[in-house]
Amino acid sequence: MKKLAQVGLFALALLIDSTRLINIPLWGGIHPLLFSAVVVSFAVSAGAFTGGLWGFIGGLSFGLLAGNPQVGLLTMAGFLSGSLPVLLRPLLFWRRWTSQVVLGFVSVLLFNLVVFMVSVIRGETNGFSWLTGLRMTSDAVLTAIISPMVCAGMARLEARH
Amino acid sequence: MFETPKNLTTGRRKSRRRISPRMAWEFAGLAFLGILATIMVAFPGATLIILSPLRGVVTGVWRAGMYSVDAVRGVGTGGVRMLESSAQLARENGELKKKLEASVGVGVMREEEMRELVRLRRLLGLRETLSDRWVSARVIGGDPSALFSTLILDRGGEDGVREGQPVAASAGAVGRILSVGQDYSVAMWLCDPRSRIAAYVQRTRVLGVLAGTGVGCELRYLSAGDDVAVGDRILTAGRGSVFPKGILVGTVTELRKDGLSVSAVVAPAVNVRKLEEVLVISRTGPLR
Repeated sequence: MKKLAQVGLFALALLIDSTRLINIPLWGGIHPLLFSAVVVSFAVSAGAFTGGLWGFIGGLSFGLLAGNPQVGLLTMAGFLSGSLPVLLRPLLFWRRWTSQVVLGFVSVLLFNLVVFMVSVIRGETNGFSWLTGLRMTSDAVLTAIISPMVCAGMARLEARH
Repeated sequence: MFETPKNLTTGRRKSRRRISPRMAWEFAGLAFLGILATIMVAFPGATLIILSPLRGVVTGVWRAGMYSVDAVRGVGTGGVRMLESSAQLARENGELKKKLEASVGVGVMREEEMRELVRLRRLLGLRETLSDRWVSARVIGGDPSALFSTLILDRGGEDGVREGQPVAASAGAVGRILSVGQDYSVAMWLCDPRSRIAAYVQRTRVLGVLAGTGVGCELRYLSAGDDVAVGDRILTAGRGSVFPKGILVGTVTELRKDGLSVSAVVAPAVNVRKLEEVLVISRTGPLR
């Protein structure tokens, strides 16, 4: 039942992200990456591998939707954003609740940075503009705000089942 | 009570930290996923071929979900109204309030329909100016990353959509088709960093290359003597057979000089985050 609820929540987050249901019309459109917040909440309770696995699945789903050549890129971004922040938790930890905020922020920043850096290596992107940076950071900040709520929701779900 | 044994030669205590079998498995799993993801980054084409059956399933499920979200968007206000009215059923004036809320809901739905009608009429206007074959499509999703800008359309290969075909909206050029599934397709916005098209300044006919920067576009490879000013309209040049000639791309907002070369920052005519309907042009020709 718990697993089913987790899968349902994860799928809902992916759907909301890919349909841009939550979109703030600033700097060409910014949005929290809900899927990252959900993955972080899984990783906080079950470890880096679980986070990496869910991130991998999420990135792969986005990649399969977006098509060539982004399938591997988004999978890699999802995997790293799900696993690395939790592996680096001893460095990022400050207080219990701030840890969740920082993890959400770092997770989305990593997701966007991996996509950016791989596309720079491939020669698809010319350079870093301040507006791109602003959008990446804004997405990360929005996700950081909702991360503790998602973590609390997941903890409640875990306690109930 | 318990002391860790000392190393006889160094006199230091042995560390008690050991890697548990579970941790070892987790690290092995992480390494496996990392290698798999790296291979997928290195060989995206082969990955897509291998995963094509899975892609069909994922996009099928996704499309159903996306339509549900679309429907939820439309009836969201109606749903809220129904909840409110059920809570007030017990009250004496519940019936009147229900009627009032119902009429408000109908009003909201009619307003939404009117807006859609206006948008579709504008699109029809564009359609009539194109002497080409076209396919109209609805935007059902997009790319979640902050850098790339792709749109998922509800028309695909079985509707005649092919890779590389241009996409336009009533406000102007949108982009081109990046990949095609059986009943859906993915379009890349003109401002995506991977996008390059030929474009010209409407007032002075100066030609350049319009390149995406992720958040906007730049008209590049202009020379210092070219007559380009802030406020100039930029149109598609029709070269390279991607876009028909003369579709509005955007307006120049800033000029940047770097030695002898000049580039113009272009504000796109189409806000891709607000797009709902587009036309995929399947055969290009001159505008009527």
